[in-house]
Amino acid sequence: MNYTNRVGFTSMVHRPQKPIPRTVAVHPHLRGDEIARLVSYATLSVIFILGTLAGQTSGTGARPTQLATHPHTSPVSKPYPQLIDITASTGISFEHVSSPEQKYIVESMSGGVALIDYDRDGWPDIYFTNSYTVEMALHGQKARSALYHNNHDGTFTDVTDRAGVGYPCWAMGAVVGDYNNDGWPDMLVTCYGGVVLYKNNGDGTFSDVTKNAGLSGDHLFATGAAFGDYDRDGWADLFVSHYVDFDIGRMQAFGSADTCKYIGIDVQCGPRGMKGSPDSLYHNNRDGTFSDVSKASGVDDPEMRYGLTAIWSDFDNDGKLDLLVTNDGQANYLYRGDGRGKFVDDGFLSGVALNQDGVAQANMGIAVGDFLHSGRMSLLLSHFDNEYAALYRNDGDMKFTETSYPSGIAQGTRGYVGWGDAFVDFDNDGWPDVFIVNGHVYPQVDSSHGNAVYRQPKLLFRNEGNGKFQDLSKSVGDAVQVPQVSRGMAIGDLFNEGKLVVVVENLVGKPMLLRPEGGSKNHSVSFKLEGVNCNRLALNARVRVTSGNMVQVGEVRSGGSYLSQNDLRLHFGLGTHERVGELRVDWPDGKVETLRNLAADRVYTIKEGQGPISSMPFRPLGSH
Amino acid sequence: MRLNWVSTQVKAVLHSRVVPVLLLSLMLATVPLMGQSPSADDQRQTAIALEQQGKTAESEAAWRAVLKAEPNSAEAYAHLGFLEARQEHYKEAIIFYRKAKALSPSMPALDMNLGLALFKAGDLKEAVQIFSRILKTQPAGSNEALRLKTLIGMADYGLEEYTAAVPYLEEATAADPQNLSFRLMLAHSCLAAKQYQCVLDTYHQILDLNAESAEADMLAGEALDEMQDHAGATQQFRAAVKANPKEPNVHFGLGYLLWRQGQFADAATEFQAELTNVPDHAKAMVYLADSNIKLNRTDVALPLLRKAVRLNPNLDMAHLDLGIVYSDTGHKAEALRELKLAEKINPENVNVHWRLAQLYRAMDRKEEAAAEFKKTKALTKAADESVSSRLKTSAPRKTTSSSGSPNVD
Repeated sequence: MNYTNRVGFTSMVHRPQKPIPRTVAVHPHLRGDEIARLVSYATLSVIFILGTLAGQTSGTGARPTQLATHPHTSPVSKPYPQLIDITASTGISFEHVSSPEQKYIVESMSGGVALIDYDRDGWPDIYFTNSYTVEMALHGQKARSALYHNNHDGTFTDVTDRAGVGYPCWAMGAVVGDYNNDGWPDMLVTCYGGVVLYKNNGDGTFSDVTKNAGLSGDHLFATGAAFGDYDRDGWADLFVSHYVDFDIGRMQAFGSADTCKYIGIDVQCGPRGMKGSPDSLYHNNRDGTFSDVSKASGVDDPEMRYGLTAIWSDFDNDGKLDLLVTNDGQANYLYRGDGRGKFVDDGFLSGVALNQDGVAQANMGIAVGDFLHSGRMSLLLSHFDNEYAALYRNDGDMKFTETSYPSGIAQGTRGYVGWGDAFVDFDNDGWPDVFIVNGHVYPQVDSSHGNAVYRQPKLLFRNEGNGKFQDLSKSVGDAVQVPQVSRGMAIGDLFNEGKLVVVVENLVGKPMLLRPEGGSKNHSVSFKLEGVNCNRLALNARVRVTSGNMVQVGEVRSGGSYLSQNDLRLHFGLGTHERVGELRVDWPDGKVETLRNLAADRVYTIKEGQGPISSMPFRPLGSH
Repeated sequence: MRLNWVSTQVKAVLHSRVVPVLLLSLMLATVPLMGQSPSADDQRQTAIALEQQGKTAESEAAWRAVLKAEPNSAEAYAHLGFLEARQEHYKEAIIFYRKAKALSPSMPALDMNLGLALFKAGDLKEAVQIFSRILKTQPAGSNEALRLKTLIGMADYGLEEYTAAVPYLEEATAADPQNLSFRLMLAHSCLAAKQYQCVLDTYHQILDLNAESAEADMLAGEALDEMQDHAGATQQFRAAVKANPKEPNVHFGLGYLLWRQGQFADAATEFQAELTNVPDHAKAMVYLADSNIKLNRTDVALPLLRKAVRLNPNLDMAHLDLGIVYSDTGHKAEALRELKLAEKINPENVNVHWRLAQLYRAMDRKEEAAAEFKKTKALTKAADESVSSRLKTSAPRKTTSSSGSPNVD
């Protein structure tokens, strides 16, 4: 978040012959080896012959990396939906606590939001994290996080008190996982001071099981977290990233050092100049407890970089989970997993540690998606205002190429401090677009001479289907342009109507829910996956949807965006296609399931080994 | 090029009215010497008369005649030195002054003239030593003291001892408020000494003398940029462009600010404008090329980069960008060659190693790729540690409000 002037201006145009010391502001396709690996993977997979619903399933284990080609039709000429602010009608009254001056870094980093269908009624509920101010903490006051139950009619009811999740800690973010494999989604809250694990009791209540689960030893500034079964034992393990070593008893005073200045004005100190904190990986012991395997696994962050968001995914399509951790102002980690609990940092080798110019950026939010229909998961990382959101195209074999400028993303994101981000198909054309929420760190910028502003609008980029994105931010409705101090963001079809809704948690004030209205009348489909032999929430299962000549891949993931949790259900826009020709599920345990000829505009629940066990048609909001 | 500004500016000042006035006012006193023979005294009087009539060659011959008669005449050496200085033969003047000083260390005004000759010959370090020594003998606030301080300030400026120059130049500008050269020199010194508020104060004073000073606008822009007020800096450079679009480097400076803010299209316009002013401005050419690369116009960038390296083969950024363009267009061998050249020029450029690593990776040269990634990582880590260690040395103030670690759960 605090950033170095890469090249001193004076040294460029100043007249003296001797260079003046600069000041530091204080701020490719399927190849032979790949094929061989896939063949090996295929031999290990289980073949399912299932007799359910429309098409039938058969399985091979190879996870496809090269998808069917298709004639490209430019989506840009079609009307795009308007994103309408529906917050007022939802009944959500949550308000994030914030200090007006944000004098300390711990006051600026909160705001993760989680979509969690805690009662398993098929309707995503919302959990907003809340944080204290330093002043409140010094006086023993607490801030209330909030859980809102989805009433199926466009409204929500605050069920926080009954659920018992109001006061976990000085909360930063929240993610979802089923740590005890009971089928009920549990929730992990990251905090300044560790983590809180809430066990879902299945009756609308949660229990704080942090201590019993063996997670109470974490007293660090926890930020990102993600559940994922890295050793494929069928139980979700847990990674927690940590930010800086911030001690409320020894706080560096506002504006007191080079690291507490921004564009010449006094601001909060850090993260530069602060000691970082190591990261943690907990192995699930399958008995409700976890063991700390950080060091043995190789993801303990011995350099103590400033960790923020983390996410599990199989980036090289080798069937083994890898782990991405964004680090604020420092090189990102991309750990390549061996599937047995050991990881090697390939951040530099893969190309995602730094930006294209070899500069470590203020890496904050993570969006993962196959925006090119390549069958590989690419990345979008949100950054600070003197940087840009970086788009890393996955070229396979753990190689990424930054295409921020050629794609148009860089040009449209400079000048914004980006946080929550997502690949999201609002218009259901089958091409994931990009949505980013923004908001500065320093309220003081409003009184500076510069262009920076504290409250910032959101950004939407339409995927043109050819690697390029069109900036639609100013043409998709006034709500997107409302300047806010946004942080967390989660995406999900909140109302089971075939439309992806954005839930934005703002650091200052109320959240904002944006629902797409209008635009092309495209079809879509959603899938809820239930693991049987794999982890119950099917985290990191992949679904490949073929409709006509369009092939898309989605993945169930815990965490991501900025300290947030998207709906675990996978949503695919189908354009004009009324059916899914083929659906392939790659379960985390290596099993493969294939379904054919599924009707569009429905939510399917697919159980590992059993195919679709239920489905529900999308219906317009209010008609359920 | 502005990069030669110091020597140019010092020379300009030396040739301005300031130093000749100082020089003439300190002409050597003619001191009657006891014990000289009548003929030698006649020769001496003749030499002085000729000198005063401005007959330099004749006077010089007369003084040499004196020397022939009186080989140890400090006065003759001193006057010969003066005559050489009057012809701007400063090195010769210095030799004569030193001989005179060896023979008569306390000869009045000799030190001052030696100091001035050294100053004009560019031996600023010794000149400062001499001026400083003389300054100690002058009454504070006297005209002589002021003249000496002015000379010391200018000499320090020429020596790039900017912090030392600032107080002397401040006194000089206070004593001569209408002197634009002094103010510009002061502003430059303040900028180089990182005394940014001083730059801005001086900038406003310069505007009082010349409201349309593009140079002053640029200085203020640079100061604002160093103060992290990038918008203010950009605004200031736009004002400079308006004041004088032909001012050397004005478009380059504005372009660079815009480039750094990612406004590549606007930056390209400015770099192009600079090239219109100075067609062989190699750096403007490279930055114009780089802006075009960012705008996905590699076809425009390539010829610019090729020309830039012909003009100046030592621009690492040009070779780096050539490496990027060649790499992106599949010309891997050429890309490797250019990146290697960039590395040779600037081995510490992390971007070069980052690009080399990626190129080797694309060429399937795994070991070399790993080595370059390792270098990239090491340089990145070193940069982090450098910042951290620097910051840790500045002892922060602690807040008084915190009273220990509260229970935050």
